[in-house]
Amino acid sequence: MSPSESATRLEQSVCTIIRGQEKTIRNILACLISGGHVLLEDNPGTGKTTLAKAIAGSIKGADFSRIQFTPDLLPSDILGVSILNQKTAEFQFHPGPVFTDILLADEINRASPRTQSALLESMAEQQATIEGKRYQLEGLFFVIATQNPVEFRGTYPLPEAQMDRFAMQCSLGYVSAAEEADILASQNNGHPLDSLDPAVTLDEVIALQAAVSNIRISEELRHYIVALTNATRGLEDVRLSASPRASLSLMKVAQALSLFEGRDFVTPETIQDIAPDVIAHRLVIAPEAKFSGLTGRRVVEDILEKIPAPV
Amino acid sequence: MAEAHTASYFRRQIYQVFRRNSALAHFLTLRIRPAGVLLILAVPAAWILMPQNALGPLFQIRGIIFAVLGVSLIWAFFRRAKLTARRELPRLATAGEPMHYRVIVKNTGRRRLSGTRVLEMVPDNRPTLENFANSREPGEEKRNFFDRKLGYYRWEWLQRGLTLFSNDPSPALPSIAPGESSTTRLSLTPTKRGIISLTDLRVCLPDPLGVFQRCRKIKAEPGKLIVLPHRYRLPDYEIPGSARFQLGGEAASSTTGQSGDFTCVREYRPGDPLRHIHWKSWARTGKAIVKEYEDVFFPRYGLVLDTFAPAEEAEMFEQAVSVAASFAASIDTRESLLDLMFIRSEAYVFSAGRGEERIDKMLEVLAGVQCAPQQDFEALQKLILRYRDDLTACICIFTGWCEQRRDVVANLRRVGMQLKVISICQDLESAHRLHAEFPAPVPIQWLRTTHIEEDLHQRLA
Repeated sequence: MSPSESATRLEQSVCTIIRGQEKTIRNILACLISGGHVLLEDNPGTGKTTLAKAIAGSIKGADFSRIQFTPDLLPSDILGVSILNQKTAEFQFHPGPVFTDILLADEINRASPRTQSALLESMAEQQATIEGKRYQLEGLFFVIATQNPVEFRGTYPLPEAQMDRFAMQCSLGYVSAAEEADILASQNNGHPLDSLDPAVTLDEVIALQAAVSNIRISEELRHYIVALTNATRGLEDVRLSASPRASLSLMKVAQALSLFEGRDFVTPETIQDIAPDVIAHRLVIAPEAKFSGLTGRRVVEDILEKIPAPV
Repeated sequence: MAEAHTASYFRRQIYQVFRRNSALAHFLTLRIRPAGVLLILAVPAAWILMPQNALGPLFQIRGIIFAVLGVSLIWAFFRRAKLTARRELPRLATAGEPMHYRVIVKNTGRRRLSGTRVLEMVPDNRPTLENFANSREPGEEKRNFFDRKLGYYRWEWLQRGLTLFSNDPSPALPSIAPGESSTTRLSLTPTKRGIISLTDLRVCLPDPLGVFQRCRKIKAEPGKLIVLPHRYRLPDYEIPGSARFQLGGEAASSTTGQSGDFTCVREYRPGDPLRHIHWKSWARTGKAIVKEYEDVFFPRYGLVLDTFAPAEEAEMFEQAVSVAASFAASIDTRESLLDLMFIRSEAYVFSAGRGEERIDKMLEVLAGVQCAPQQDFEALQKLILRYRDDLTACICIFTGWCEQRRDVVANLRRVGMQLKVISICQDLESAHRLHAEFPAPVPIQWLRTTHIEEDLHQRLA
């Protein structure tokens, strides 16, 4: 099966479970095969957990773990801990839920910043250092983190460094009335997840990740990506700009998205389409500008308007 | 109609004249472009000069002016447009700060549109008769008899107060073919805090000569904007008091679990959670040892807003809200808690900071705060004293100064509360006179309504 066919099958499989969210699902899957992680900012009940389960269920052999973030969560609850085996008088390492292929970090902003930071190394380098020992996270290791955009009581905003680790931030949002009616009909006799058959294997997804780097991106488009992220620097209203990691994520996600679109090259339109989702959440807007209605997304959209795309 | 009887016959007539004139001026300014104004002004000038000779250049110029006005007027009258629009509004804006937003315009008509502009209409800012008859412009008593009787300056002052925002039309839209969309950017500057409903979006269709324009309403979903209070830049300032254990701190910031910083280890006691076991210590000592966590200590500040301002001191109250918003925005709520306290029909406390609401929510509360219907300083004092044990210090922002306000401050000081007292005043002379009459047990930072930022920098630094 060609990489493009694998991508299409994976997408179709997830779309049978999550209805009316084709564009967002494609972006999230592009994020998955680009090796990035995604932050979903959504209201409760919009299907975040179902989406994570649907992705895991569509990949044969993929492990799925879920961490419900709470204020009393400790870093060891995420990474794992060495427990003394009194029979052998030796420490035995008990891996935490981070050792998985697909990790749902539910309501990530409910834990304290130090606990949130336990994920930093794992998300950036696909490894975890626990009690001085380094453990490699094998397989996919794709983090879908969620947070509620409305309720802030009892939450701790993600540190900027943590936000930068997410390749993109997006939102599923509410579906249309017709699609919601479809969801009711489809779940009348059990949940579609229960009868979901894997569409691709874990090896095929890893092959997809390798195929992303074969998607051609021209020199002009690379400069265009750099120009977009560079434009966020030095803006008066932006306190923290996009990092080189943002440029890298934008390039990789655009390549992955091209794979889903059945092309072996990146177009400027693909970059423009995905740029707000990839860059906006990394920007820290100055309070005065924020209170006057400026958002990271608006900054990126303005930049996209100002900087002409290569023809 | 009951309100009509509260105003004299003369006042009612004057009100109607102002109201109609205002509507006419609004209608004309919307439809006559700057070039049109110049041409219309040139008409009487051309008549006055009345050339003797019909072949004279002035006569010909006059003819051209009339021709241009006539053609433009007819052309503008027949301009048509059928559009729908969608506003992409931010959620928040700030009083006095320009705010930009996009409008996506779709041409649903059959004709190509070019040279059009989009304009957000300012809601009707004409005062009611009751408002006009019973209000008094600040300093109105100093005006001459004619101005006082006529009340034109009062009308203008009321209109200024009721104007929710100022704005300009969008730049000219590119040519839009039938069925196509175009995005334009609009900006508006809110003039006061509160909620603005945007319900009237218009397209301006100028004639090709740019003299007159037709204004047509665009079909669009109404938009809503929360306007936060204007904020002043504060100097570096210190708040008295020290951090203390907070019962409402990190540990109580959510419904489950405990939190805090790891401080030490101790022997296991039945009931200790397994996850708190320190395995290395167990291995070393051979006994079950658990980690102990301590709750976090950090400061918690009170921000008290005096809402007991009479109607004639509305300006002072607005400034008090702005000063409260300035403090709320300047305190680092990542490292502290902030409780906004005020009285309206009942006592309100709103907390922001670690594990609590975000500061922009507090600013939203301040955007909607109104004067209390009646003065109840006792309730305010009770409210502050209820939180006395939790508060590191209290910033009290008063609108004016009087015996009751002095008593509140004195009673809070008596129980050992750390206070920073700020009072808004019209001028320093009257403030010092009031202070001499009702001396406060702590220094008061007086802020004049006309020099708030300057006084803040002078007295807080």
